[in-house]
Amino acid sequence: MTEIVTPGRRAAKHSAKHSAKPMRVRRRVPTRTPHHAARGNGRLGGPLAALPWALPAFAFVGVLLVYPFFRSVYDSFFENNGFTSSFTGFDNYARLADDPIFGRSLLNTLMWVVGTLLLPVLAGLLIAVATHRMRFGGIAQLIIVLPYAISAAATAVLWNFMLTSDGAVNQVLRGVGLDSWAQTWLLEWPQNTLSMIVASTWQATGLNVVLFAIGLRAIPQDTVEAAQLDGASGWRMFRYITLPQLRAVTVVVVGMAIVNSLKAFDMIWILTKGGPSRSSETLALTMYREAFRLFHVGYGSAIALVLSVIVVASSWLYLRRQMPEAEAEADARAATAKA
Amino acid sequence: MGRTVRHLFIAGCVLLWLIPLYLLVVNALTPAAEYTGKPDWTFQGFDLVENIKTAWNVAGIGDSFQASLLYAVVCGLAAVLIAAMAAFAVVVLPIPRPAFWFWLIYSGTLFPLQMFLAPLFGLYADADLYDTRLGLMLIYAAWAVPFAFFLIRNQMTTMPPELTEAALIDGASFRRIFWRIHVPLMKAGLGAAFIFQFTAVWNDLLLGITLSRSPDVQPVMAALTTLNNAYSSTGPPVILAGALIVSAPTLLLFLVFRGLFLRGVTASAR
Amino acid sequence: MSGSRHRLHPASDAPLDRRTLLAATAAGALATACGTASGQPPGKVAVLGDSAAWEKPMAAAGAAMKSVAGLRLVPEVNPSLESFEQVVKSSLRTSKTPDMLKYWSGYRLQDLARTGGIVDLTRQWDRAVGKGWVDASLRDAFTYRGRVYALPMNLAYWVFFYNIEVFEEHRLQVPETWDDFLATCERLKKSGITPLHGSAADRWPAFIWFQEILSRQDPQFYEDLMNGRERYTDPRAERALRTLESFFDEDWFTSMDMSHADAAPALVHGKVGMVPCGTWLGSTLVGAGGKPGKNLGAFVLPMADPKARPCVIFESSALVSTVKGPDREEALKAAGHWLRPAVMKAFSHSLQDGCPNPEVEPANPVIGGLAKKVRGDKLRLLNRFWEQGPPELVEATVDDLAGFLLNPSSYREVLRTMQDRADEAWQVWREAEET
Repeated sequence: MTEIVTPGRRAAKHSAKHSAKPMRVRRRVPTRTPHHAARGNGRLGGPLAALPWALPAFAFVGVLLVYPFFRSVYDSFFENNGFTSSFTGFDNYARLADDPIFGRSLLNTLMWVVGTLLLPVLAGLLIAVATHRMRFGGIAQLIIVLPYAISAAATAVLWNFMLTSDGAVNQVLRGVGLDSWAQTWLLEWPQNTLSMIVASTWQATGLNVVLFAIGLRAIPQDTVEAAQLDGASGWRMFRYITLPQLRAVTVVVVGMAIVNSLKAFDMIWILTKGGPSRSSETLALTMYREAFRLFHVGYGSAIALVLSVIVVASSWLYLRRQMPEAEAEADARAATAKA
Repeated sequence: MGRTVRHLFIAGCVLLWLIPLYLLVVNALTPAAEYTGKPDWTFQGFDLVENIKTAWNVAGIGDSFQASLLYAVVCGLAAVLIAAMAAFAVVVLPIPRPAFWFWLIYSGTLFPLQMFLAPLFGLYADADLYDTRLGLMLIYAAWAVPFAFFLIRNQMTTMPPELTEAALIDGASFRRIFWRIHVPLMKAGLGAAFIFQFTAVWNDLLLGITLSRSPDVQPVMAALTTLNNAYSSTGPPVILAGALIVSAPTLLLFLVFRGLFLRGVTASAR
Repeated sequence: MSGSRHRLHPASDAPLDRRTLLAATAAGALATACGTASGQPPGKVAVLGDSAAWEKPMAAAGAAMKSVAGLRLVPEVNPSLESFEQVVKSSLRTSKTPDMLKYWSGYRLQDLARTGGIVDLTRQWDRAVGKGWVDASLRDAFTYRGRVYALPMNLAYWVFFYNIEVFEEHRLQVPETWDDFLATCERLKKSGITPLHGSAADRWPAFIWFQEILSRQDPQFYEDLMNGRERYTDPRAERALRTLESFFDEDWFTSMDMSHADAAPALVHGKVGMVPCGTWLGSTLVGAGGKPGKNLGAFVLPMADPKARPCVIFESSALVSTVKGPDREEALKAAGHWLRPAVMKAFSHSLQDGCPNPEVEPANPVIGGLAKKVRGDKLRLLNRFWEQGPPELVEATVDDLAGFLLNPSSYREVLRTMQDRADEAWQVWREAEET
């Protein structure tokens, strides 16, 4: 069993480490997750009774997503030009090392990850907190979430409007006398990657706002009131009450942000197709291009595997640290609520 | 500091978000022949209906609109249900090696989508699922499960275990606990998961066009994309108008969601 | 609390909710009922294409074919060029492949032909040539190892669109010589109109200017270079890029991020002087408010080398019939009737583009005039850059040319990179040819 399912132990360790901070002390309350309790005695029809509940998900994901993935991994050991295929072992991986495009693409991917964590995630949190229980806050949230509902075709046209040389951004800059700031946003690196991150912020922040808003509304009112009685407000309230209470949601938002930014594809594909001269490609685009435009299927699959390893590793590193706490958090809250 | 800063911040954000939306609306109204090659900031006319009509007819949005509605509703619901069951198993039930199950199901969202396309095509051709609505529904459901699972699972961990324990003491079955306790308490989370999956399926293009080609099977985004084709560009105003009409279901859903679920969550949290 | 658990009953319910299963099954059944099978019923042949603009023309051709051959053509579209090509390539080996499909001519067609997945249509071609239904000089573009593997669908010429009213206003004539062309650009520039549209947006348009300039300076060199018989590092290739560099120095081009979708309205509204493109851009221009013959005209770029035989770039899509398609016999029959004047007329009039069958007059007067000039002046037809050379080479050199357009002084370096790619790609292509 890995750490994810043994929150008790880790949480205890963790809370001991942080016990100096106020408001976290209650984590020391001995807790027990439901499945622990249930697993303690095998009188619930045995461990297999739970299996049918997970099987449909397993079947769908396993057959339609995981199997094709390993199929692609297998392909990466072959050189396939569309009609013949020959085993090449690790040649495709060796080629990666001295492909300059791969390096640029890795760098762009990194920019996407950092940019996504800085912009849509942070902005999402701030907007959700700022609009929480605010008059017209709901309307503000709705406006920010609207772009998420708009299709990719519209986003492409719209952000072309914004970012081309004669586009809205430059029109505005020229209008306020900042002519020297106006530039060809999509034609040069790194502006093209940066401006596409901004475009994707416009589209993706709403989702995070909604998730954080759900989390905020689920914070028990008495917790907030208790903290207010203790004199907490403003930053302290945010830091020691709101943020810890939002942990379960934060894990989802950050977890998805990591995955989606590493896989960034749609916004780039519709705005620049990775160009010009491949300068805005991310790993996902490089892979798509190699496999489906240049028909280097094996090489494309090799890039895909490298990308997948990065995604899995970073998700694992993040979730391994975060998820036990999420569970402990729940228990702690339950304990507080009971007390 | 508080209030003023907070209001200014929100006002600034709303303004930033509104500018592109404003351009979207203004340019969707521009008559196709008036568009000069750069975005208009002021209303050039009121040709929304004309533009939508062009988009609707040129792209043949009608048929695929129906198909996509079917995919998004059925697959969104199926994915949320399947994901909720799996989350229930991993969080509440005594399943052996929950971490393994978690990563297995979550892994579906980790791999880049473009990587699945070629093997999926082979799989679908062999299984006679290629170019059928059933085939598309299966892949959409599978595709939507991992994120929904992740979201629901994390919500479920925030639920007090005493609820389950008390119910078990009363002799309730798993099924009863799931439907009577977890599902009602997690309405907001499930609703959010459904909306996100509905939107994801509705806005999908790549899976849809790789795994189907008949007009009555293809999703609506395939139809919309035909407007933006190099050989037949109908011009930005028409594309924007088409995009507006195609975005209507998701917009509507978000509006309904606000009223329905967020109220629900506040009530249940108190 | 743990003590009280003794009273628990073992769970006996089936954990899967039956209602759920029923609902899912019902939904599945419903879906199967609504879904379509991939094969078409007798009398119908499915044609897969990558453009919705070809749907109506294909249906029109199908209606015409219905009356001459009792077959109906059913258009199917995959609107993404990339996805279309991928689906075609991965489906050829399966029975899910479409009966017929629209493909590219030249090397892209050869690439498809050597998979063995498409049918030899030499017999149908020869018959059509015998009846005078097709321009015989197009054969090369559809040939692999001496056999014809596809039939031409349209015949687009690569021309310069211009706004007649703007030209009249500034007392400009359609350029007859290279110097005329340069003078026209200069005059437009002086009048505050951006003379030329150039673009690296959407990737592929980056090849347009290289193709146009090179083919007017030395058509034979263009043909040889495209077929791997000459080198990119040749002074003649360098001259073409230097010419373009001088255009940049004069500031004649639009910004390189202006797409064709924006260039079309800009031309119609008199903001851009000339837009080089295939005649298929006509429908986009008309959609943007252009009126052929009134404010919309087109001309073939004059030769820079007056001694060379005048040429024009053409583009012709290929109608391919697949080996494993479910209605193979009917598809072959349809191919036999495809080039008939009645079918071609219905098709090209609906498409509003040029026609490979010389008996069919184009419906659009601008294109009609161009076709007359091309045939009358016996212009040499050269295939487009996109269809020339191994596809993977073209995909890569297009990006190199985009790099040049954004940094025109880098032409030497760009040409060297292109030649390195060409060396490698041609070697791979020729090796594959031998197996």
